[in-house]
Amino acid sequence: MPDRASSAAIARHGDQEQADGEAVYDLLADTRPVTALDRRVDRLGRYVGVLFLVAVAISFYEIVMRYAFNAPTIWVHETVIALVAVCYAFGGAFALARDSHIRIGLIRAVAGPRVRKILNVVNAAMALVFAAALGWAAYLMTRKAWISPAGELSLDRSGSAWNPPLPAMIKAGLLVCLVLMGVQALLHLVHWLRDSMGREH
Amino acid sequence: AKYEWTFQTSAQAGDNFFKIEQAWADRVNAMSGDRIEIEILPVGAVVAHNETLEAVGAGILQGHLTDPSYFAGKDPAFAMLGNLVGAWSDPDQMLKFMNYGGGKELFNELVEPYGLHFIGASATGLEAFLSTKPLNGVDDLEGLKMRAPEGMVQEVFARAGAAPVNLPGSEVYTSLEKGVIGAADYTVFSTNHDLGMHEFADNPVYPGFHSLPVVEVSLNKQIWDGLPEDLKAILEVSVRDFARDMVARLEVADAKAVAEARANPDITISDWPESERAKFREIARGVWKDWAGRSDMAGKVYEQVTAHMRGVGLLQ
Amino acid sequence: MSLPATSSRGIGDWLPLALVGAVLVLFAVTAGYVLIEGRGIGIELGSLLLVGSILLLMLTGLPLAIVTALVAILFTVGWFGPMGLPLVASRVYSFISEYVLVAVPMFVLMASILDRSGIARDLYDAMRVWAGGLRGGVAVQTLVAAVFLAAISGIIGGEIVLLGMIALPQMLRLGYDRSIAIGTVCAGGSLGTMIPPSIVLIIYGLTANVAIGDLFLATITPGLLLAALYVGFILIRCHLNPQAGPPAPLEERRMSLRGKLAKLKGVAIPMAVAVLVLGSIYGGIASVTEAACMGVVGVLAAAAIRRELTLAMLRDSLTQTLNTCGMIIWIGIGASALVGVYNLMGGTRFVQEAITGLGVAPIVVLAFMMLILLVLGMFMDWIGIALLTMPIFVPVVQDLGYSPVWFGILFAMNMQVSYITPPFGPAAFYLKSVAPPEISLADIFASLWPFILLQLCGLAIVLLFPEIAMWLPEAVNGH
Ligand code: NA
Ligand code: NA
Repeated sequence: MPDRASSAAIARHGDQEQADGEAVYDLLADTRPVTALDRRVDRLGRYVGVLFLVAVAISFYEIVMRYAFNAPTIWVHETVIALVAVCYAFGGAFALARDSHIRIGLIRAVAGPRVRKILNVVNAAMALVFAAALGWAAYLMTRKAWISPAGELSLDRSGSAWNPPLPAMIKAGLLVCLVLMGVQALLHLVHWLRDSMGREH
Repeated sequence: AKYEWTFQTSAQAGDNFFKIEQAWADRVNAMSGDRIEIEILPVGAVVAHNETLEAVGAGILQGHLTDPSYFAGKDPAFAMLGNLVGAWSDPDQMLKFMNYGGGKELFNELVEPYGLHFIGASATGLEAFLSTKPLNGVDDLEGLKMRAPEGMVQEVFARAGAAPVNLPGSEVYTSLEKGVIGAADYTVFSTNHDLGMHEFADNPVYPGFHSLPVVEVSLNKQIWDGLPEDLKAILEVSVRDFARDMVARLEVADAKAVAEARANPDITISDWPESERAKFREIARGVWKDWAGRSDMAGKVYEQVTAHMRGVGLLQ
Repeated sequence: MSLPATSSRGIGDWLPLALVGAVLVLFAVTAGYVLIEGRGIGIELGSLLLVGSILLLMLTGLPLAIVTALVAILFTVGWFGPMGLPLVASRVYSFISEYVLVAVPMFVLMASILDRSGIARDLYDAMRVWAGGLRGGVAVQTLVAAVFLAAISGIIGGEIVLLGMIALPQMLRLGYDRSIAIGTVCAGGSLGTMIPPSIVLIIYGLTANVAIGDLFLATITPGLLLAALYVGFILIRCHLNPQAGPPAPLEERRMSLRGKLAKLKGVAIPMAVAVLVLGSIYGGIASVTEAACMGVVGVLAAAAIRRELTLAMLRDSLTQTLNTCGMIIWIGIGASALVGVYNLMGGTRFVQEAITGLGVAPIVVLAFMMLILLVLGMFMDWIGIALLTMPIFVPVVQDLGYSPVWFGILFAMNMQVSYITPPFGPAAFYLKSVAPPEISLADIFASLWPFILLQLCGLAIVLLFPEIAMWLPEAVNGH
């Protein structure tokens, strides 16, 4: 076995942006539609990923301030949770764009190209139902977090001493990501429908 | 049963509160001649602890038994009605305000827009304060790294000179044990004791001086409005009894745990003198006043509570 | 685009096509039935349909994250109507803003940086040299490292990702048998919740109102027992089949002591990071969750010292962290939503009736509980299992006169099994999220069954001999 083979495989796995959709590095590669939106989401991930670094930096700041200076902050924990939550929410769309969500494709493993195309259409349709239903639910939830029962704009806050409107923000962020995933799934559906009808060999 | 409801509580499944709450549900079933059947689910079973207000309002849950402070982020009035830090020195005083001092009416004014009806309040009793070092008064709080949950508590402690750390309940044990924090506002003495917290937090303050959370019992408003009068009465009376039952049982459990702790030479229980409690209450009152300006309802609560306290001689 | 078709042309498409048709029709019928009949179905059949629809959807190759969430949505709408849907959204929101999960990306980031720098490779080179002629030696060393990692982590996700990114490719590089390497990573990485600190035991302690310190003491021996079982299995397997865990080549073994000592430099940096993280937890500097952040800082510093820290490397590590978290968190999101719905459907009462209707000897009740936990472990996340079963099990266990501390250890051991059993095996998912692409989920699960058997042995041992767990807390507490 060549020396760095498996590490290289991992690196390839991680550096998908360099492959930019051409390379077939996976048995399931034919499930990756590579729409323009997916590419954009993929690129956006580079910036969103930086939030993790921000979370590390401010957590470290909190530890130092608390341990060395006996001056814990009131804002770090909540900010870290919000940063990570947004990354998690966006991570769903990001993994959808890269088609890296984990699946058990038992039928796919034995299927030929034609059946795979059908499965792609079915899966894209299901992903669309998922994003639409969850997106609708997230919309209802977000509306309640942004608008008080009296009908005024009033953002849900955390209720802590710092009391930032982060719950309302995270809920809105989740909604945005779900809408994004819905549009992604819709474009996938269009892509696979075209693929299974138009480009039959 | 004609009415089958699911209530979520803020209690853990193994908490002694949980069994007391289930006993209440059983009594409601018996008193209503099997017309009402309530299933009580522990914290987090259906939605997270701070999402039950929405869930009950939406009819996903039919009711909840919870600490209203969890909703302080929606309206500060929830924190003021839920846990007015430093106000009460025993649960009876709080229950009197709720039942006869206008608290209940205010609470309903607060929750009705969210689609809930407040049946009544219970309490878990005066909480104990966990500390790894001796605490004998407000001055000892200076620079103390301590965990405090959401609500008014953090702010009051910060003003008293402590350094509140924002930690979730699941991190309290290890953080106290390893010394990341020196003290924690967690729960009642008997539960703290059962969890083994006093093995390292061996300078508990009991009775606590800081926190007396309300246990709010509410039902979806639409369901409440559709109930016949006899069932409404059964619910109200049963909750009033539930409060007595809970306070008394927890006092017994606390007393036993305190006796056990006193017998242990490694644990030193500190009981603050009235003068120190008054000092802390003074600091807390400053915070109440601040919070009163944060929403219309919070202002109303402040007026009502202080008027009541003056009326019964708790405030000058 | 050329497709790597795996089916031979001879079979043709009709069989898979028929399969797809059958699966879709079955799912459509189930979904229609659930939507029309709603809660009239009852919890017994409802439970079956719920599990059945998960399995059916999985077969189509739909991402697991979407499978679990879709089933949650289906049953919410079926049971409670469309107005129940905010329940699912609420679970999603609460899940992503869970403080304890903040440690997951930190561990992934740490692993990602370790992998991209040469730190991991140097570590494993040193380990190989020092393992000498011992067959399977590096796998055993990896398990020892896993136990240390377990002492700095309270969760499993981060630890498995870390080992999966570092240890798995290195063991494969050294010519280890794939199934041994995979099993070592998944089973070893799961020990994070068996060795204190453990979030599973903390949650159990809070739920059951049991002293967490006693749980931590009681879990140490069973945790080490499991690790010992894994070590024994690897040594025996590699002894019988030297190809499974080849020792270092002869010339490396003959390396001078000075050469071997020089190799130890590769161990120094990972050790320093481990000491930093361990030290920050046990020295009371950081909470268990924050300690993961200390690890990232340590690894960043180490990579900088080695002059391997570049902007491109950092960017790649961060995007990989985002991707990995997106994969594993969204599976958790779906599973969490499912738990909320199932509890509301009356799942708790369903389990309760199964237990209380027994009327048999206490030990049989206990064994039956273990069985329920194992079966639930196939389909659910541990936190869901705890929420569903603890309100029922703990009082029963106490009524039967058993120690709730001991039961907590049995619960934690059951969860060890749940992490690696298909079809819902979080440890396998975590590993898949970072494993080389040629390793499929099916490969991972196929590698894990010997370890499942070992875990069941461990569970049986602690079930039959409670002293294995209880001697330590009893000795410390002096009663
Ligand atoms: Na651990
Ligand atoms: Na499993």
